[in-house]
Amino acid sequence: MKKKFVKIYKLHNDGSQQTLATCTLVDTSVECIGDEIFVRNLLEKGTPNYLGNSPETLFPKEGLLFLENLAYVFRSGYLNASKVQEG
Amino acid sequence: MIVLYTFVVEGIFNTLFNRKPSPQIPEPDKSSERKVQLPLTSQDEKVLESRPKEESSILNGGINKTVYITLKDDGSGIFKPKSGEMSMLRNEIEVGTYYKRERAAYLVDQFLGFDLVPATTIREFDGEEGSLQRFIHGAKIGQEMSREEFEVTAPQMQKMWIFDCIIANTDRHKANFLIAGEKIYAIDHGLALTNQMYSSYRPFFDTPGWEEVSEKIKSFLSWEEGVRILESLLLELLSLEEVSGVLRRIKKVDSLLREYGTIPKTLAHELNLKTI
Repeated sequence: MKKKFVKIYKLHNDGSQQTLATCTLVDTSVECIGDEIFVRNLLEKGTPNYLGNSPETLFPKEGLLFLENLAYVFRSGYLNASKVQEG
Repeated sequence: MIVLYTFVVEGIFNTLFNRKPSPQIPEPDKSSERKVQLPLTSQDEKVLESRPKEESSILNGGINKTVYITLKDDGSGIFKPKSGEMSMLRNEIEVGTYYKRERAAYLVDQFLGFDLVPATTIREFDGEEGSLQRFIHGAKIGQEMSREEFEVTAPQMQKMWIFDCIIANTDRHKANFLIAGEKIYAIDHGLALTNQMYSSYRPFFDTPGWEEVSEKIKSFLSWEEGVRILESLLLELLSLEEVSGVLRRIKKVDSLLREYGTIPKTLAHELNLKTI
């Protein structure tokens, strides 16, 4: 069965990008694997919500909304999140 | 009167603290637009403004277009073209202005002497205008920082917080500041310089330790010509209302720090802050 996921890419000094973490929708919640500190901060502190006014912070329990929001949060170039992909 | 200012100084910090802007004799601008040039001070800025592009790669991910640019002979930068800006991120901020806000935030940082924002210019590559910001090698973003690293950088976080107050940043969180060594860099100011509310991941109301910030702001405000130059430069990038807001908040921060030695939470409304 196909799953929805988002990859978060880290930019290196030579201009290349490498996957730092991958977040996947599992049932109604999101699970992330990858860089330990990054993932812990993401899961514990959540992310600001760009897709609506409420709640102000999104956590993995928000499921697809949390996943879709990642590309809005990580867009600096240093860390960029992909759009939601399926595979 | 349309005037072209060209300042030749060793560094903007020297300018700020020696208060010797040493402008050349103003001469009439031959162009039809008002144009004020920032003192070309830092090597970083000169490089960003002048070096030709060697290579570029459009980066994967993110809702806005970001491009990694390698400059000939010297370093690299993150280019954010106007054409790649995503609409509707903030109702009050017009799409197509984010890149100008990146530059404006850098100017405010430089004139205040906070040294938080990597050198940022406006350039055109392949027919696309956008902001080009110096790439910080070896940096991690806040989201990758451990609790210990946060503790070590707390004084810089405090400075970044008041900077965000001044530029009315609506978009500071752990994904838009960097740490390299023990130095913090503030990035991603496309959603700043509004006159709307501001939010923060960690407010520093009622905290001590504002002496350095207070001195820098005092120094800036006492340099009247510098204030005028900054205002002129910002007016090339932002609306009059937005520029007035920045200057008003600088003065307000100055007065609060003089009177209370801190930023009292009870007076947050005077800075138009949202106290989350």
